[in-house]
Amino acid sequence: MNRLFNPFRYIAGLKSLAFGAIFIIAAALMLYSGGMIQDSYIHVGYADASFWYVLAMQVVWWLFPALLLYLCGLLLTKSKIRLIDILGTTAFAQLIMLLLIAPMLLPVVADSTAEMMAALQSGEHPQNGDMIPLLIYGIWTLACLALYYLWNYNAFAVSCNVSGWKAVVAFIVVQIAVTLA
Amino acid sequence: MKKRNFPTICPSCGGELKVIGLHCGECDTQISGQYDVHPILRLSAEEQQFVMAFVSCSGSLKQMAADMGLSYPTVRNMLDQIIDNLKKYDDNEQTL
Repeated sequence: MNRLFNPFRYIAGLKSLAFGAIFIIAAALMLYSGGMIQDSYIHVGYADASFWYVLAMQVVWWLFPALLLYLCGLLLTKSKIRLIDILGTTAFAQLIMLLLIAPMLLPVVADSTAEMMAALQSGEHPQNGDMIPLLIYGIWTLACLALYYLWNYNAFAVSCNVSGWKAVVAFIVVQIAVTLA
Repeated sequence: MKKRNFPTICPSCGGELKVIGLHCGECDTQISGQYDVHPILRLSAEEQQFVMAFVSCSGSLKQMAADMGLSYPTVRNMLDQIIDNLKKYDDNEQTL
């Protein structure tokens, strides 16, 4: 169970960065194949963009918060922390992004989304049957997001040797900053 | 026989214990006095085990991480915690 909630007790540094790079490229490939792009920190939208642009956005939304967390770590800890650890662990946390994106490529979810969007645009009320796959996907998304934040917090806590309310506040501030960016 | 932990804290008041008696198991000689407990002995059994492993690995945290199956920052954080504890015990001894 500990490995599920805090894998960074067991993996960090270059090894996790290598895995993370694979996860980021895989996420970009999945988004590109579905005609989507990660247009903000935790938001995916539909866009007609090249693969390299989709990949660049994936890298930006991983690197930007990782560097902010590293700066917070430098301010909060007395330990000698390594940039490679925070980059590696936060990259590894992108695995959760794959779990978030994968269901969006399923025809049942994609069709339900398209039907609901069409219904909303034409001013009609979506049918209940159309909503069920989206409802299930919504619950799945919430669970994945909770795990995503937990993994990112643990990545920060382990890599920068921080804990307590200062670490929690710094993490929340960074999350709000990157969400608003 | 179950291995017993070396007590360093008084179970009655929470104060730091001192050694006042030593015994030779070979000739039954007994020595009385008042000896401070070294800060390393005040660490928990797990922490003392960590220090032993650290010395055995010539201080290589990377080697320790590989041997323990943990990540490098996790092992470094454990070491930092031990350093903090040793400083705390050392400061306590100096103020006594």
